[in-house]
Amino acid sequence: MTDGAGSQRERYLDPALLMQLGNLQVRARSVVEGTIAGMHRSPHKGSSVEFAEYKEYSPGDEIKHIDWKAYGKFDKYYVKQFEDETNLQAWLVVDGSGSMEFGSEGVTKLAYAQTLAASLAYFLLRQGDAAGVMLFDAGPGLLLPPSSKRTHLDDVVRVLERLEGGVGRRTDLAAALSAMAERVRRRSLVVIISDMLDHSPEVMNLAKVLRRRRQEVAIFHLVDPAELELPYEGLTIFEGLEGEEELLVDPDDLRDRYQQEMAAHLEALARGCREGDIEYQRVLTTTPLERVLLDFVEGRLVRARR
Amino acid sequence: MHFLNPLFLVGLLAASLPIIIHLINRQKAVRRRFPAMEFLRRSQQKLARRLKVRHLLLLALRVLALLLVALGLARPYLVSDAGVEAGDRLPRGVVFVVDDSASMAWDDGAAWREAVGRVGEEVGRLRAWDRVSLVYGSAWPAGAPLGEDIPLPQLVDDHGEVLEALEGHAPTMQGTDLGTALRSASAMLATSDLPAREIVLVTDRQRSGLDLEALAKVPLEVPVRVLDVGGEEARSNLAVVGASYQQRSTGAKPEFEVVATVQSFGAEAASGVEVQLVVDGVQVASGLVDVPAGGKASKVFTTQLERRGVHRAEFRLAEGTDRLLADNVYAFPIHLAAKVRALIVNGDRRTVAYQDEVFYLERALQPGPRSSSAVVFDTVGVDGLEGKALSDYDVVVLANAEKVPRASVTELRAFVEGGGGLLLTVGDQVKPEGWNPLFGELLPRQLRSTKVLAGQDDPDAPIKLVRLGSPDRTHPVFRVFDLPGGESLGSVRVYSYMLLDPNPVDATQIVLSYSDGAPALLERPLGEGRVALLTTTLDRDWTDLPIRTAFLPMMQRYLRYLARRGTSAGEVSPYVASRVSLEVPADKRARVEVRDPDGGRIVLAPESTDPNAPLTFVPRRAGAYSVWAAPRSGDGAPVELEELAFAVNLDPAESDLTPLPLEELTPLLSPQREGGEAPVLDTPERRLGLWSLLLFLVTLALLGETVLGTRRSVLLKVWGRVRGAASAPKR
Repeated sequence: MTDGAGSQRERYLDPALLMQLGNLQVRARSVVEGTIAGMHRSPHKGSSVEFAEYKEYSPGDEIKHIDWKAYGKFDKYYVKQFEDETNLQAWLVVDGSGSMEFGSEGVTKLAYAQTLAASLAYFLLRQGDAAGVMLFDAGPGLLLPPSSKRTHLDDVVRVLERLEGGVGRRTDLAAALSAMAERVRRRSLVVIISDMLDHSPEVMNLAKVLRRRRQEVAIFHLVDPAELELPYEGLTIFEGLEGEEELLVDPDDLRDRYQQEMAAHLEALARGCREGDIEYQRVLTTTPLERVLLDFVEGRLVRARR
Repeated sequence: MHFLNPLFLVGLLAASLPIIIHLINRQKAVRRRFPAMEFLRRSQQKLARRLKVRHLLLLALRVLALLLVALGLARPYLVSDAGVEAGDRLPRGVVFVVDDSASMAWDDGAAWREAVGRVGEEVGRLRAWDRVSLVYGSAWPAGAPLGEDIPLPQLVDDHGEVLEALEGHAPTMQGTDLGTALRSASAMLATSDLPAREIVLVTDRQRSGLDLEALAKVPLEVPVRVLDVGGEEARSNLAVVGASYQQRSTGAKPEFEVVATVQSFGAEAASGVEVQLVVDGVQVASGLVDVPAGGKASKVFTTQLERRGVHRAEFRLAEGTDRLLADNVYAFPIHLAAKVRALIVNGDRRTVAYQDEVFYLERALQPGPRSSSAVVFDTVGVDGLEGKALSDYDVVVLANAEKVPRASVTELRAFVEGGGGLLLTVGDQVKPEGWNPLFGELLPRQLRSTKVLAGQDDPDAPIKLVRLGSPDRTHPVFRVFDLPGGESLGSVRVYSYMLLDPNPVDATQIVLSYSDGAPALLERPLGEGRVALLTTTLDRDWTDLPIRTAFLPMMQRYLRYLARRGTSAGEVSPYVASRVSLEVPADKRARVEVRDPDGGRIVLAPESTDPNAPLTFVPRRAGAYSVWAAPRSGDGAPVELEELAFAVNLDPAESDLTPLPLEELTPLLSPQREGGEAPVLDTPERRLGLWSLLLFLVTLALLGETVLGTRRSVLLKVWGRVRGAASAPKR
């Protein structure tokens, strides 16, 4: 056990250290390379290049795929879609609310989410899948439609770098999911990267709606260790990151009760995901990103075999 | 509560420190941004109540700990008489001096019961190795046998003996003499080598019973602690403090005037106090009297007594009059003489018996050897009058006596004024010029000359002589001569008589006259007694009265009438526990015993070799006592000496229940009283340090503060380590 953990530490970069490395794209590549190095070869071969369907053009679709004949016939832009065009279309829904600015171990949840999202996008694009990004805080934010172009990674990284967080921004994951539900038609993978502090029951309902529409939903629940343990001592004035009122307490008094509340929340979340067949992964911000990515990929392989 | 270092009490201000620190901490609270505020808020809302209580408790414990520390530094102590100083752990000798005088019977013995209870508490506090003794504080004459007055003559180990003795004892009828009791207690402790010694005085502090001068002189070497059982309340009390009687008449049922003196002790007047006269166990009279506050009042009763001898009388206050019963009864004997003792002074002695001046008188008073006359007499000549103790007689008859010594006349006058009776008779020996200056005021009237009416052999005598006229019918002696046979008085012939000065003398009463109107028998009260003058002879020289049938009843009755009346004057009523002297005749001293009111017999032993020395006796109880004697030891049953019967009463000092203030009493009982300032000894100060108790409380408060104030995380870690250490496998 100790050896395994030690070797893991040697193999993967510590997230805090990772955040020191260059820009987001470099970090993403670094993570993915590390992940692939730890992966077994995929049993899946190439894919079909047969025409699949038309899709009405939306901003972000490549112009070269517009079927001009169809335009002549219907006076509308349609994009031809092929079966071999991509294995998977993935939406990376990334939380940019105020609470994501929190980080106790040198890594904010926001930075972690950016890197994780970029790594996922790079990983997907690298194997020919399409990756799109939607940012949200109090509502849906910037949106980058999925694409499998090699150069799409630059766009993804650019969008993710626009994710700045900021104290006072509230979370409304439900609104983001609602927008996503309207937008996603094709069978897609919706990856939610958030600290899941939106307690609205709508979140889980919308996730389940997506799932019923045969979309795959995966949640990366980012948790800072301090959120689990409340490790503070002494009289403290806690200030909320999303505009909540201040609270003067001695954390030592509340710790047990807080941990119970937090555990109940985590349990409820996990249970909801289990019931809705939603892939749920709780990610401590101290966990190496390679490990997270690897677990995700391996988890997906397991699901694909079922 | 007292403090050795009161300045440290300023430290009490430190109690505000926790509050100040709390306020400062609040300002110094760390600001921290945190995402999961919702969970924090929910936790805080659920725990708010519990946390508030805990915080308040914590604050209180901190404030308390500081308060206790400040108090502790001020070194507080309590003053107590039940301390446990080092000296107290040493063996102690304690002598309880318990006042058992009559006043302790107040309120049906409430004061006494309280005294017994207090002593019981004190004894209960003693350690097994302490030694105790008990002395009573009632008065007892020095030198008299102590008897039960020292129930424990020395210190004993068995504490129960003190309680046993006390519970078997009751308030006496004696006065208070704490000085002697303290002297006994002090002497008892002086012989003890115990390191700690103490006298505990239990008293009602009755002021009138305390001889302050005597108390101040008691040599005290050990501290005296006073246990007060009387309280400070004013206790009003009524008592019968005196009784007197005076015989008002003679005869078969002589009348007596009996006077009760009732005194009020206290600030309240009492009206309508019922006084009862009880004679020989029977209530014969009762009456109401009003007694002024702090004063006396008298109630006069009149009663008749028939039986000769001594009557045991007492005055009682009706039940419920007050709460001290012992002084509501006053006993006294009423002596009704059985026989009149007469002294006949013969002024004209003759060798021929019937010619003797007093021949007929003696026969009248002693008709025959077996007759039981009410009058017994001694006869002496004029020269024998000197040296006779007139107090042994009730009446003196001076018959035709001339040349009476002047000293005897003075004695006779004193005798009459003291209650005795004197009958003067005249004759040929009496010369007016000699008698008038000699007797002076003693005579009912001055003599003038002898009036000779006829000689006895004078043939004309029947027409010359005079007869005795009618007597004063109201006179108690001559009242009976109105009865059949009484007419013989009028047949008495008188041949000569003494003429008297016609000038009347105050209060002189002519009892009997001659038929010519001249006074025959006159009498005059003088002092307590009476003087009577018969103006003719007692023999047949001047009259044939002696041979008339009226002579015997007249002389018997008249001498009894003249005789000393029964009176309480001169009688001394001894108090309980005072020494009573009894003048028992030498021939009856073989075995003398005194019977007390309860029938108990005390045999009196002579205290000196002088056969005439009085026998003394110290009574313990109030009431009527009688004296019995047997002429020779073992010679039959003893006979009561009625003339020696006496009554013993409570010392009136015990009736005044005003207490002496404690602050006046305690300085008198200090061992250092002659050396200047006297320490107060009633409650010896024993300091009970509270430091250790406070320290213990501080420790408790700090322990509580530690448990409550330590962070749960730390406690859990410690607990975890403890459990880990306990569950670790032993190698």
